[in-house]
This record gives sequence, structure tokens and C-alpha cells, in this order.
Amino acid sequence: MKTFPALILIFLVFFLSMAIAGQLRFGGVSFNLVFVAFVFIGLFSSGKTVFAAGLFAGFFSDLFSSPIFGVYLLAFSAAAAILIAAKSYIFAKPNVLVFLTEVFLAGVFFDLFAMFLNKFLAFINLQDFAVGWKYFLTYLLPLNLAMNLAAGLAVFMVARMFKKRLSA
Amino acid sequence: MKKIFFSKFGKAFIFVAAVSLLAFLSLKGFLTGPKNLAYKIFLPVQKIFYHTGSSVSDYAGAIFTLPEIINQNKNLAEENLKLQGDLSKMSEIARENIFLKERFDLPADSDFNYILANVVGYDPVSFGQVVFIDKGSSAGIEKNYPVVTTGNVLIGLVSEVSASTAKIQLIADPESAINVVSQDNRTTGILKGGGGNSLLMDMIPQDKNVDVGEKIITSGLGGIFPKGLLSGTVEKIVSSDVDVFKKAQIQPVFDAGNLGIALIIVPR
Repeated sequence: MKTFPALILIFLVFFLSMAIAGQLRFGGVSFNLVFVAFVFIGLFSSGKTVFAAGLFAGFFSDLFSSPIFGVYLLAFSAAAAILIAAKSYIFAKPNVLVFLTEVFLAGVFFDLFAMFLNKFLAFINLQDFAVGWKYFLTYLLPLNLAMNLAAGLAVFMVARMFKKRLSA
Repeated sequence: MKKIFFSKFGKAFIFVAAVSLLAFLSLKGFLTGPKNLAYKIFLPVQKIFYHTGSSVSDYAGAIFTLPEIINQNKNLAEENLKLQGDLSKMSEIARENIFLKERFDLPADSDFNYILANVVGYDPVSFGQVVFIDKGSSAGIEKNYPVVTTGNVLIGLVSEVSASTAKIQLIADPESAINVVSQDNRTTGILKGGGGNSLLMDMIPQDKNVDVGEKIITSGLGGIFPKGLLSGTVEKIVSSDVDVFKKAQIQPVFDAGNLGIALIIVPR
């Protein structure tokens, strides 16, 4: 995928995600469609495009979701670096299993990053962040990962369908 | 030196330094202007996506839940009859209340103004429970204003405001903490969000009672939330006798996934 279409995809997915994240909740947890789209781009694009998509996704996430600008920019950039390295050294072949594995592993990294960030922000603001590690590790993280995997599978199938239609 | 500077590590270092500078500027409030401008630009896009998404999900949901809707309709018709009866009783009590207040020269209840806003999006990335509305400081909304939905049901408070939009931190957000009281037993506590759908009423004294099914309302303590806003119903008591305070799991009254409108309470 080229850089410009990748950025358009991130833009559309971000606003779509803002619109439907509320409705498509399970146990109060929603999937992170922006992140899934970003990993999807990572699977089919060059390093430069992945990094640009990461910056774009991080920018929008910081703009709408973060109390401090720059944190998601860092998280997405770090995830981009991991995805690029994984593509070069471990997962060279883009297929559904590789994609889901990347969604899972990058999701663990991303959610842990978000949790550490929230704890840190609560600490510097002298507040109590009510989500405990036990609740996070046993409920929020598994549920979010499962929902991301389900969304990832759906995204992959839709992309495959479109590819078949376009090539037919 | 030049080689090291432009190597991958050098670039990564410059990037992290630039992001840290952005974070610092954002903490000091220097990015508020550009952020407001960005919100202004993206709000119309967000509105289009939200309304389209809501319409599609409403239609799709209706197809899958048709038997449930028929059943719900039947129950609502019965409930409506009961509420009509209650309403006539309540208006009698209200009339009596006004008469007695006039008679004993008591001050009238402090009233609030409401600003009606539409929900235009949900936070798609973080674990927080945050929604965006289409009105901001130009409509008179300020930070920490309480937000309710139809029926005086508390949904949260304004956590961030720009000129054209505002963020509402829902009561289930992990950073939310509200002084509440149980409606029948008058037991006080603090309602905390736990992420997900869960709400927890904490700091309930051991010698006080709360019953399953009892309504939880805001107590008015702390000054942010006016008293009497419905916040949830008690689902179960989750603590043991050895704890210093009792805890109760609370079921929220509103559906966070289907918030159409939000009423922002403005003190008069």
C-alpha cells in the first residue's frame, strides 16, 4: 500500500471508530480499530509508509484521546518500529495468521503502554487511577485483545473480498 | 559525528526529543489554540460519521432484536400506565410543597439551566469512558459541569472544553469519583468508575446498609454535582465484614453505547 492511501485509510478508520466505538462494546470494552488498521497497513506496506501511518494515527489519537499531546505519537511510532522489524526478520509472508499474530503482540505492547501511561499520569497528578493491575490483566487486556483479533479477522476478510472483486 | 547524528539512533533521539517538547508544551497549555482549531475543522467530519454510524447500527440492531423490541414495547406500555398514576400523585405533592413553602416563607429550590448538546463520538483509543459533544465554551459550557441525560440520569461531567466541542468523562471512567447516597437507606459513599461497564460504590460505613435494587443518587457533597441525580442501582454487595468499608457493585442506568443527547447542567 502506498503512503497516501494508507493515510486516508487511517483518517477514515479513526472517524469511523469514533462513531461506532460506543455501539460496538462488549462488557464496556471496545476494540481499537485504528490500531488494527495500522497493523494491517504494516503488513502490506514499506517501512516509510508504516511509520507515516503510525505518526498519523498517533497524531489523531493524541488530539482526541490523550490528556497530553505526544504520548500516542510515541506509542504508535514504537509500534511501527516493532512492526517494521518484525516484517524484516520474523514475519516476511503476509497472511491471516501473521496478521493476527501481529495484532495480538502489538496489542499487548500498546495496551501495556496505555496502562503504564495512565498510572504515570495519575501518579504525577496525585490521583488514584481506579483500574488495578489485576483487573487490567484479567479483564480489560484479554477482552480488548480478543475484540481486536475479531476486528482484525473481519478487516482481513473484507480486504480479501475487495481484492478478489477488484482482480475479477 | 555527523554519521552518528544522522544514524537511525540519532533520528530516533531527535524524534523522541521533539515529542517530549510537544508533551511539555501541551502540559503547559501552549497547544490549546491549535487543538481548538483542529477540533473545529474535524467536528463536521465527526458529526457525519457519527450520524451515519448511529443510523446504520440502529437499523441493523432493530433487525436482530425484533422479538426483544416487541416484548420491551409491551413492558413499556405497562410501565407508562403505572408512571402516569405516579405522575398525578407527584404533581399533587408538588403543589402541596409549593403551598407549604409559601406559607412558611421558605426559599424556592435552587434551579439550574440546561444546555442541550448532541453526542458526536466516543474515544476510540484509550480505556477511558469519554464521549464528545457538539457544543463547547462558546455555548457557555465550562469544565466540571455535570452532565445528565433524559430523566435526570447522571452520565458524567465535562472534563475538557474547547470553543466548539467538549469531552464528557462518563461515570464509568476510571478517574471518575462522585459523592452519592442510597435513596432509601440514606447511606453515603463514593461512586467510582472501574473501566468497562463497572461502577463501584466505595467507602460505605460498615454499620450502614444498602439493599440490592436500591437507587443511588448524588448526595450534593463536594459541590460539583447537584443532589438527587440518579446514578445507578445497587447490583450486589461485594465486600466482607473484615474490610474497613463496605463496597457495592452498581448497575448504571443509562446505556453508554446509545447516548444521543446530553444535557449540561449550568449553575444559575
